[in-house]
Amino acid sequence: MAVVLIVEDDEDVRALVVHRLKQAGHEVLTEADGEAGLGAARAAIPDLVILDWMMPRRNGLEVCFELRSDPQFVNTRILMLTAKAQEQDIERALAAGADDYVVKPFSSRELLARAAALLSR
Amino acid sequence: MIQTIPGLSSALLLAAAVVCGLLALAVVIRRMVRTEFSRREELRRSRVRPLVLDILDGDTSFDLSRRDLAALVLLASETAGYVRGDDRSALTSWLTTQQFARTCLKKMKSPFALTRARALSRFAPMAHLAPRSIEQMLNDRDEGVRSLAAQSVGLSGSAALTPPLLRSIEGPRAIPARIVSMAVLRASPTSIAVFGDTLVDPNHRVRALAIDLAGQLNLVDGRKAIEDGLDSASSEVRAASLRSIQRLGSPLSVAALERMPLNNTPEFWSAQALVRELLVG
Repeated sequence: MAVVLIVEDDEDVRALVVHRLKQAGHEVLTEADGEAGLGAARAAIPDLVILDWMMPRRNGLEVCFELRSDPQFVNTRILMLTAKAQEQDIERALAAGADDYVVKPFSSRELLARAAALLSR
Repeated sequence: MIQTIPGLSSALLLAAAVVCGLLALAVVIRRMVRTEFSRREELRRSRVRPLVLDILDGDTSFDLSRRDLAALVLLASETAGYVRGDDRSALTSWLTTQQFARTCLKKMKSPFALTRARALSRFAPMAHLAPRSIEQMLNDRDEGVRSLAAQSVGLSGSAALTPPLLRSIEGPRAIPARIVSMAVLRASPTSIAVFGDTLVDPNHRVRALAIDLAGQLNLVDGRKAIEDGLDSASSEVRAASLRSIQRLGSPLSVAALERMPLNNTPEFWSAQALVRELLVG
């Protein structure tokens, strides 16, 4: 069982991802904006952070960059879950330190498989 | 007479003040009603949200009031737009049992563009169930609805709709190529077969776009069709072929590039540079 933090402002998407991760046996924390997400990450040091890109207060890319700049998150994996699907968006996210990238609309089965793969590293 | 005019003015002033007051009151009441309506809708959505997860898990044995069911139908249709694969199939199957598709299709024939657009955006994740209707909307009289129809094809990922979508960049009711490209990229087909005969379309703009997108999507099974574009009479198609050959990066394309007639066109020199690039690897 891993601790997974989901930072996603859309309540419907958040509910779905939480549901699937709990079904997979993970402990799940949630936040609805980037600033709160950073706070929750610092408090819990999760194994995996699933980050939306476009969020209020601080966007997912900023959060990703901030997490990667902090040595206490060296073992935390980051998965971006976003509607931004352009090649340059994916490049930017990976350059900011994301370990993987899933584009919306997404398959929850694929999301779980990618999360499992990241957590097994 | 002198006394009547000030009296009349006062009465008119008073009447105007009363009307203004009533209008202000109406605005406040309207705002309060809308706020309350939104609050109730949000509460209803929160109440039925767990049921969307039940539908995804295959459990649809719930008994709801008419309003809760309507909220659930709307929420399920919105969620179907965020997901794909098994999750979308589960939601669209359930929505079909709720006559959702039939209602949307009926509204998509409305004389009002806003109603058609709203119904279309709700129906988008299920577009593959009624490709003919979506195809008609790619030719809708309203430009906004046409663009929305293109986006719906992208969201649904319907293979049957990709060729008409690509062809929609031409004609009197054309959809901007940028929107069509985004929709095809969003659909992310994994085989060139989805492009149908647009790769040999007599219209060079359609053919060039299809070839360009095949390259952007890295459809390696389309290499031959992409290479065939080098023989086109249109420089737009030839340029698109070169771009896509470069994206695929296969040394197998060298033979096709070397068959290009010797001339001084920019494409010829690009092809020569590309041959070197592919051979060096």
